[in-house]
Amino acid sequence: MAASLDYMTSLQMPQKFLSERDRLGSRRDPASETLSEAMWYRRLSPIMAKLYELSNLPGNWDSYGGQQVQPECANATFEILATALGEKTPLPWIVPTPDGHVQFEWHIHDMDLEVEVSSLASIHVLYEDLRSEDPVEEFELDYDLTKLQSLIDEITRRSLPRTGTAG
Amino acid sequence: MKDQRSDLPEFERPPLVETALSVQFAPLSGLDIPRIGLLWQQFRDRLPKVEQQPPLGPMVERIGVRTSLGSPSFQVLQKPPIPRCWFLSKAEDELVQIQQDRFGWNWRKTPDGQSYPRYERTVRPRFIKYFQKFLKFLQDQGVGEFIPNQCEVTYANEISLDDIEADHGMLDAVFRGWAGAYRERSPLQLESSRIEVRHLIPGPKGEFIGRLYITIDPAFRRSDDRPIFFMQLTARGKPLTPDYDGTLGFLDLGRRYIVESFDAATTPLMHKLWRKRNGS
Repeated sequence: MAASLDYMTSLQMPQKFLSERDRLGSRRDPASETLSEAMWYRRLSPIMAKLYELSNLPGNWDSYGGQQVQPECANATFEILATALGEKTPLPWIVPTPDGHVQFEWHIHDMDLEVEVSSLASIHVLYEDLRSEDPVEEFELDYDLTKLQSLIDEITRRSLPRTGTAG
Repeated sequence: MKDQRSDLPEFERPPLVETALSVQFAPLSGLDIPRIGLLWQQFRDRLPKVEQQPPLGPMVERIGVRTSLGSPSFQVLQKPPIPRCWFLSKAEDELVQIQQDRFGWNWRKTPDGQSYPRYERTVRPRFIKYFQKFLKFLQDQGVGEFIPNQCEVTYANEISLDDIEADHGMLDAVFRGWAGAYRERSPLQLESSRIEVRHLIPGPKGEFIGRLYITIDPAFRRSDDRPIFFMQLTARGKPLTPDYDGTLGFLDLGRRYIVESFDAATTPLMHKLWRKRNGS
């Protein structure tokens, strides 16, 4: 088991099959990492560490025949969290499922949000909000994560300290 | 960049130097080195050269989440990674690429090679020929089910500035999206500019299915050190349906948007040099 890390450039550049011939080095990356990049990397580090730990679990890790975590699920989980989390979003719990998938979840501020990632394009969401009139929702996502992002944003909003108003 | 059966703009002398079509699918752990070697036996008459490259990480186009300004990429591997294998033609103008979650085919122009062989006439049929062989091999060998999740089309262009006596500071002579007013008003001499543009690709019902990326880099032609612009257009997104037909459907759609965007992004002056024949 191994994990690899490298830094991506500002935009998600096409990762193509092309050769680099005839492209001379007109672009130079800055020699020093910016503080914001370093802070973001530090914020994501616990997620990477947890996914790496889960990926090292042996088969039958739960003594009920639980399957090894599939690398595709761990990698997709990181990709989703790295783009969906804000700076103030509490980090989720990340757990393996018996099927070898990865689930990340929050149980906080009257919200329960459980997201099971079973492949790059197969994401199951179960959501309960005790402050809502229609509290339970369950749905599947593939590439459009708008609904998931809005739920994570709500968790972030509820986690922010309340600002008082002058009376 | 067009043929007789389409309504797309066509250039008699396009600056195209490379085209790549590829599909990413759910990883097949059974597609290991011995099996890739067996597959090469089916291709080696036409693609006798072999190289190994590091595998590419998974790529996916999503919408609804933030685009961050830089994020570490992370990849868990359960075994030593299987390399990305290149099967090259003798002239190195044609390439099939295989890794555990990708299949791709490239055409590229070689110094003494032919000009762009055209999508409908050669590029698409050639891709299909190898792709069908690959899928049949997966089935015959019981490697696993082909479940595509992303498709990609890339066109790379080397735009010579020789005929218009321009340099890297004169982006506006080649591209419509850059106004020359900046160059004229800037207190400093403009040495070069670089452009990155992203567009959303809609599906048949207008829903998000992917993105088109356009990048324009100043560069120098290696053969004579003359300034050029390297323009790359990549359409990436989910197959229209998660199967063979849906894969080809996205590749056709992506190629159409690439050709139309190339036409839209470049100036009439360059169109004249490239001998544009059709389109508005």
